[in-house]
Amino acid sequence: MTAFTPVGWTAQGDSPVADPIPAMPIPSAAGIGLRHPHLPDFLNGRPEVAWLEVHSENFLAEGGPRRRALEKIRRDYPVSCHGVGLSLGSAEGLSEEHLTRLATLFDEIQPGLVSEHVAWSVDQGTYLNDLLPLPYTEEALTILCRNIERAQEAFGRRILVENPSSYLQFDASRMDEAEFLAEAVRRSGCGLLLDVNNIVVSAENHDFDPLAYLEALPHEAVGEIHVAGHAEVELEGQRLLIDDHGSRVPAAVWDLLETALAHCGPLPVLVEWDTAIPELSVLLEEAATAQGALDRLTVEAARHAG
Amino acid sequence: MLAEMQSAFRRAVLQGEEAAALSGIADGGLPPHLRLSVYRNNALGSLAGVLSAAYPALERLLSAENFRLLARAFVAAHPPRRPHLSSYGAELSTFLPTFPPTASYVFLPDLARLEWARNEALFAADAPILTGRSLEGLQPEQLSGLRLAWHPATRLIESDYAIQRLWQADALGRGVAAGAQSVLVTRSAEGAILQRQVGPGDAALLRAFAGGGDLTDAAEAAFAAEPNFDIQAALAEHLTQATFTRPNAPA
Repeated sequence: MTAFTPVGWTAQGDSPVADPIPAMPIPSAAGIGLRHPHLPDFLNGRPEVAWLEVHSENFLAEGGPRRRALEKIRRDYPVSCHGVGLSLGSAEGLSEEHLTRLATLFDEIQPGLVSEHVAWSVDQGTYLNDLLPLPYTEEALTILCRNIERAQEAFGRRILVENPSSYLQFDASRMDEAEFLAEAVRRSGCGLLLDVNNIVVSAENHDFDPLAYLEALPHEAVGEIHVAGHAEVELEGQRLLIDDHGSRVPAAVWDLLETALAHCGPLPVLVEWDTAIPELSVLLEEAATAQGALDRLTVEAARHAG
Repeated sequence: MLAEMQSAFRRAVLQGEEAAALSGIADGGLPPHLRLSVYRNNALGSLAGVLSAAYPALERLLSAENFRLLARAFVAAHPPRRPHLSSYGAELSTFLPTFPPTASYVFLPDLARLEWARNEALFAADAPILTGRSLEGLQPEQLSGLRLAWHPATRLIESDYAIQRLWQADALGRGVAAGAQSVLVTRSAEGAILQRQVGPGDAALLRAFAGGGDLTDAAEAAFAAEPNFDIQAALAEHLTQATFTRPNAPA
């Protein structure tokens, strides 16, 4: 190759930004899930919201505009990384390749929180792109805890795991879901991401009492709360709630949020919306409602203290 | 055992072999096969959605319903091996000739390659873009020895069919795929995907650079492919369209 020193030689175009991004903790305030259609809103302006959550797996490509957008937005907002593909419930263990990719992302964008699901999606290296249910057995608990511990070791941090929504239960289950989650927290040292919409969905689908479920969880381990909308379908004359994150948060979920906050105290609360994504303003309205619940909690606490 | 349950579930979701998965599902209210079908539809539907986002022209030309059938067959044959789905769907171009309903449309695999090139370009590594300004002040003898490296996002799809016309078409009309076309895909500094047809000389030039040749080799290849090739115009275009990355690191 010919050696030459071009005139005015500068790195042009899409070279990555070199400055490290400082970590920002997630505040006990309302945030929204950052979805691709809203990236321009956050690149061209500064919408007023306390924090953002992204799906980690959407930002694992080597480069490109989406990844650079996240780096820029992360400088303006605290960001939580919510995983959907680690498959903490897989009997075969976690993918080391995936752990490494995630750890690299976290090193670069310094998320305030990292979370995943109590579910599985990988079997024999095949990824099924859905949050599939676990039987609540001692074996599944052992596997889940081993995988959570491996993830926490790879990321060098505690993670939160989310209670699932589900459409079926297993004959093999020997404990209820709240018991299973409480034991996972106790053994692995992880925290909980309490999805109150998932509680509403599963309680309806499996006919249990959402308040009793909420009571049974270790409240001190909860580090974040999710709210979202769900859909209702009828299959062979039976009602089933589908956790589609495709509509406004319904009253039953807002009510359960108030109860959860009363149990757990102020926490980051996230509005999730993943299908039929509306204008950003609709998500911000929902976040304002969630913030209202947090504000009422603060007022209550002040009143009791005074 | 959990491993057996998960394998049974995987076969139920991907292959529709439900018997083993159904045997472990509690029977209360809604029958187990309907409960299982919710997961099957979520998984297959969401993966079909990933494919339709990567292959919009193919979906338009085949119709949404036909594309959905293609996507479901593809997912069963080539399920994802990684959870980051921006890399899912690369094998669709080689799957199309094996899927009986699309096997006779011999031009579709190259259209799929073009759409996959666009998808790869969107997620390729970042790198500095070579512009005209970078080359200012070079002496002619330095220019002739230049080896211009493709930017990581750059893709060239050469086809015996009119893939650029197909990509723009609303329907599979008679003769729409007739004629060879080569298409260059690049990514602008702002992250936009750029796509344009290039002639045989330009394609040969780009191939020569990709093979490690210098400007002298590349020009020779280009003129061999297209005697009237306007190399200056072609290079000027590449320097505004983010085709190349910086040829060497600054000293």
